[in-house]
Amino acid sequence: MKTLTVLALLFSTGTFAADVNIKNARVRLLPPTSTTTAAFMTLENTTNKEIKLVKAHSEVCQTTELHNHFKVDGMMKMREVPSISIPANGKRMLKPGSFHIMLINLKKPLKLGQKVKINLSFEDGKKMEIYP
Amino acid sequence: MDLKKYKYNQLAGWIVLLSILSYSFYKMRAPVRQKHSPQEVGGDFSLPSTKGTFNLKNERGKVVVLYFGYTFCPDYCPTTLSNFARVNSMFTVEEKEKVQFIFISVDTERDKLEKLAKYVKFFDNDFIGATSTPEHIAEVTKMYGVKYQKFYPKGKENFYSVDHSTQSFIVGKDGLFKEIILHDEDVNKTHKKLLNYIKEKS
Repeated sequence: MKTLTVLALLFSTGTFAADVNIKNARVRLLPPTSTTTAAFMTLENTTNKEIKLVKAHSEVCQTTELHNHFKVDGMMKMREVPSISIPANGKRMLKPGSFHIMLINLKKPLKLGQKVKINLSFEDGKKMEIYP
Repeated sequence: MDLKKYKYNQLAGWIVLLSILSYSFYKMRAPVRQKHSPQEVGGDFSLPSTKGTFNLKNERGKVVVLYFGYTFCPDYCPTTLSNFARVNSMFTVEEKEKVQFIFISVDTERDKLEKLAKYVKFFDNDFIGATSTPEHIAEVTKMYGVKYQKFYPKGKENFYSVDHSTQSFIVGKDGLFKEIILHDEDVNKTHKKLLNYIKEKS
């Protein structure tokens, strides 16, 4: 069986790794015909205040968006969301069927094991770089 | 005497009126039936596929799993297809011959058979991809109660996603719809379900 997720090796460089821990970050490996994929991860908030992820950016694709799924009229609707909140002293899972970072119009098909650099920006202006 | 007659007429009038009302009320309520009951969902269809024309009629004796989606989908479709690949890998060679997974694209604009072939093969060589004209797909999806619609986000050119139902449909060896598989159903449960239908005498 093929492994469909690129397992992550994570180097959270960053100015504020202490506020948010990122675990199990991965990008879904899709057939070479697919020009769009999604990144998933668990964001842990180590502070006692809510933190909001407001932007994601990656060079591997033309557009990077924060998304969620909504079930309406028996259909799953995938929509862009302005932010993803990580509760105080809690965690937010970006996972299939839920919140995810959408990588739209990949410039090149991703390869198994490839590290994809994603820049995350938070509401308070802090930034983070991850390499799932 | 006249008064009595009048009263009888009035009573008869009320009875007629009540009957009409209750009948229309019954008629109004009658079409509301449970979704996905085996009698109402399903039916044979034929579609151009990645392995020649796929005709459900020719699959009698096999359990068929239908899933409607699109290859651009970054989430439900690949999750479902990779789950099905896992389920398929749990079958013996003989069992595999009795089951067919088919991915039907509702994104008739972007998904052509050539693309679908590469897409389904990525998950499992046994899978079939199928699509057709918008009208033809509308007809087939209607039979199975599948909903879908394009969504164009504001301010983005040449970009759309497709909202769609995410359940799959099990068609038994007799060609009749049996039950649905929810997108997040446990693979062991799906395997067990399908195995029961495979072993069913047709």
